[in-house]
Amino acid sequence: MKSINVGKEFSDHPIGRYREDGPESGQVFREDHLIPTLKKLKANEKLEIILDDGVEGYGSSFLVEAFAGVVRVGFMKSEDLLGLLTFKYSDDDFSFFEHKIKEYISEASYGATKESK
Amino acid sequence: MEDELLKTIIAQGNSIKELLDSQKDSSNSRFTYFAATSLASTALGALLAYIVGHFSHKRHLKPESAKSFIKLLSNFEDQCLEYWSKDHDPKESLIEEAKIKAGHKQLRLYAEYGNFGLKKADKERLEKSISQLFDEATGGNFESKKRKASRTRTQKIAMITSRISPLLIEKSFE
Repeated sequence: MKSINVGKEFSDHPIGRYREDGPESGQVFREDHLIPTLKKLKANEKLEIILDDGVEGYGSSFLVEAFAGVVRVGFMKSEDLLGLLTFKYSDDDFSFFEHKIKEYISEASYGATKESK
Repeated sequence: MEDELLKTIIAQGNSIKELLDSQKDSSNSRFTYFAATSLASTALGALLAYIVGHFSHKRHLKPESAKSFIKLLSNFEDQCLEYWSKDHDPKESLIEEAKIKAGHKQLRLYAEYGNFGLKKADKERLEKSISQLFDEATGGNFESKKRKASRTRTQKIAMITSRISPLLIEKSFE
């Protein structure tokens, strides 16, 4: 199983939606971390996202762009992405963000946004 | 004669002694009974006082929790409406965004652990509305330099908070 520790490997203050909002934005996370790691997964291998190690919280704009964006840009369908991701946190409050991420991925339209994959 | 008189006196003395002894036992019994009933009454009184105090405290806890939640919700709504009624500002937006994220965390934790005395269906409606509030308050171009004032978003936030308040206002007056 591969993993991405958001707080340690990306930013302890994930903020913003688009790349022009800064290096801690959802688009940067998706394009530079999430999709490259998804590409490296072997058959039946899962990707664990560690949500709360050093991170205080997330905004909906970041989560939608980072996770639902994978489906929107047409890299992967909702059900496939949901089948690959697992979430880890020690703070129970972060179950809220796990739930929201899954909700946003489920609701995303495959290929709705024309962006480079 | 003197012997008989002496025997009679001794016999009477024994009777008196027996009577006194029996009265002493009776007195002890009465004392024990009195003491036991007093202790039982005191214990019962203390128990009743505890039960009344306990339920009175619990009864007051629900309205106080509901009032506190309504106040938090009102503050959160004000912060969101202020933020979404103007375009991105490099100086102010950062502080407002931090307040909104922290404010929502307070709301969802309070909604989960607060003792409002809500029915299960109402608690689920509350949690669903808090989740929708997160989508609207921190969605779209939240934390983005592209953010423009959004009339639609301010209205949605106001509508969601107006759905939450009635669930708790009733509880705040109990």
